[in-house]
Amino acid sequence: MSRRMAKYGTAAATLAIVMSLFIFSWLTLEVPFPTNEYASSKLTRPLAPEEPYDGIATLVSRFLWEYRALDLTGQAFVIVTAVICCLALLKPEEGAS
Amino acid sequence: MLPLSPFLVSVALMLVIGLGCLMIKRDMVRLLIGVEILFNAANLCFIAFSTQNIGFVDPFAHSVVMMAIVLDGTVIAVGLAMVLNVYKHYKTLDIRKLRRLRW
Amino acid sequence: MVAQEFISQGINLPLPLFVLLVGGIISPLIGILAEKVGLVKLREAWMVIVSGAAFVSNYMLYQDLSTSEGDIAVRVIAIWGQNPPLGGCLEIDALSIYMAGSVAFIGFLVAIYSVHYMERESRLTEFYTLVTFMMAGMTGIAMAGDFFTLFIFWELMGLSSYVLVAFLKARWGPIEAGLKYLIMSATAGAFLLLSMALIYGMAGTLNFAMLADSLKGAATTPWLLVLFSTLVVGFGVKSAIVPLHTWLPDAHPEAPSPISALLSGIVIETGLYAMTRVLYLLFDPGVFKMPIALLSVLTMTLANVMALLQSDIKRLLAYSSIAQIGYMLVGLASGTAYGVMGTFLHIFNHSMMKGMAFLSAGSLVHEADTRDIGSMRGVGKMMPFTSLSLFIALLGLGGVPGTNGFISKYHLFAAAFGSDLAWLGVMGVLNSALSMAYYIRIMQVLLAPREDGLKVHEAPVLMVAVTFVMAAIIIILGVWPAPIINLATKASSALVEGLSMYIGAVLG
Repeated sequence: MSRRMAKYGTAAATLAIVMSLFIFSWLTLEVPFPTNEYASSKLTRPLAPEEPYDGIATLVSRFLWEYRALDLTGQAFVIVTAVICCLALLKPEEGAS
Repeated sequence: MLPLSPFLVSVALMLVIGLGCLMIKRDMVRLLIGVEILFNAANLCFIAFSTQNIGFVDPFAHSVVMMAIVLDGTVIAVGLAMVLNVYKHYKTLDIRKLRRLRW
Repeated sequence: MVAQEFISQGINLPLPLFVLLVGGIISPLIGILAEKVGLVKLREAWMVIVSGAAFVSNYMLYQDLSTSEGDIAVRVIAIWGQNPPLGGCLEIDALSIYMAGSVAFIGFLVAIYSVHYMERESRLTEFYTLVTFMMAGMTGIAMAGDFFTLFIFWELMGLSSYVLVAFLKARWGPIEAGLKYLIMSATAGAFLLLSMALIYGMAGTLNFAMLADSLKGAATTPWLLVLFSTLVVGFGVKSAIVPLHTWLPDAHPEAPSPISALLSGIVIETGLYAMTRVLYLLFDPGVFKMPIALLSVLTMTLANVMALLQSDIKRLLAYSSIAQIGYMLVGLASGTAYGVMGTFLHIFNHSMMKGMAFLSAGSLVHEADTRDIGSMRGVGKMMPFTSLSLFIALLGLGGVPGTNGFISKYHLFAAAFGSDLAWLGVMGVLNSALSMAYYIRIMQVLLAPREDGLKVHEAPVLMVAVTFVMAAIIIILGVWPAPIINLATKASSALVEGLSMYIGAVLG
């Protein structure tokens, strides 16, 4: 019984996902996406000119270090946590620590 | 300025492919690749919206994507360590064999 | 309310976030030191010190931010002069202090409990480090002022919790539960990132204050509904809303008991807090009232029905957690400050009650060596203190008057009746009455007489002491709830009504 339920569940989920793909495509083509419509007027954005293509990389890295240092610090902690996680999962268990 | 609709349709397509991979595939490593496809769909969406200013590129979206790539790389790494442990117990990489925990 | 804008150039007060992060970094070094020197309980002592220091610094922050009229100001903290809205920031208001205080409090109690529970396990350094980082991640989510900062701390919390569920990797159960949890939660993280991309496309920024200024109150276009559904999917897996809850009944029983208490007590509530914060900052309450109400009814009913069929005590408590999340969604759906006050009050009360239930059940499982309710007949008489505190927790979860569970459920359902969602309140009361059935069944089995002469002795003193402290808090707050209601009211009015102060702190 549970195998039949699993088969119907998979079929229903596949149908739902394909239908949502069609709805999303129709939505994209019919209703235009409100790009920057809700951008507040108090927002100043340091846009990078796209003409010298190789200049974008330096500008992006300068933006990262100048404006997003808190997120970079958090990300350093995430990487340390991931190393400790892998250690915890892969260390062999002794009898008693 | 590039047209936005092809980007959004391809984001939807990648979402469908990622979710389909999660539902259909049997191998555990392929499930993790499906999760990676979903993350890449979201990153593509960010980059698509950064091109929507005429003649300019917004570096905010690029920096967010750079950090998001690292974050989901760590999640996949821990997932692979867990798949290693599953293999030690079950001797198979088939996710359909992991049905011992019932409702 | 008086707005107080304060962008500081450095760190002039130890934030609980910095205390937990620095404590988590030093913890592996303490672990290596403990192995070299041979001091047995050094790691546990460091964990208790760090979580106690986090709680104390939270209290100091609360004292620092209270103005003379008794309101709480909003403080924006940005490092090295990188101001919002372009830079990431931490924005601390009353709600952040409330959530961070709950995290630190239950973390402190669980740290004391796990001194005896985990003393025979291996890899203890990694255990305590990961618990500290999980608490740091939850504190960071409570204090984030920018959506991407929230995502980074969300991943920090999630990453630690995947491995803590699969910690006892010698058995097959935790590993299977941990893998399932990881795949579902990573998928939800991808959906959350997608919703952030849509918000960025619409508004050009990810800062909460600027989004509350520009995106709130917009007309309901189809794209906003797409954004709303990706947000609910992204936050809903972590907060165990019903179609997305299937990882929880496997993950919470298989985790070690202090981790189960932390997961059920505060991690899923942090997911719910993040969803509340984002929904109230981005949308009008009229947009999400009906969908959240439907999800709430579905969650409550399905979880209560499934809990009636369980025979494993920790799995039953896990389904009960899902049902309690359903009650908290009732407060979210009401759309008023009173309903949200009920939600946050229930978050704190549930962390006390469910945390204590898992800790007492963990003591029972630890001594009786089985998780099946039927095999635990009569154990209650042989472990009187543990089962007394378990009974108080179960009565509180069911909503018996005299415990703080009754107070918070009363406020939640009163808010539902008061905001013309009367059917939701009725369903909530019926579900609450239904849940008493399985709580009473546990108590009945534990007190029944025992046939074979199995002897179990009482749990160690420290574990019992922690459960007694939590039981005392449950009863005291049930009889005199005024201080916690005061805090919760300040927290909820900072979210729902104090938005101008929130926006003004960043935009000036």
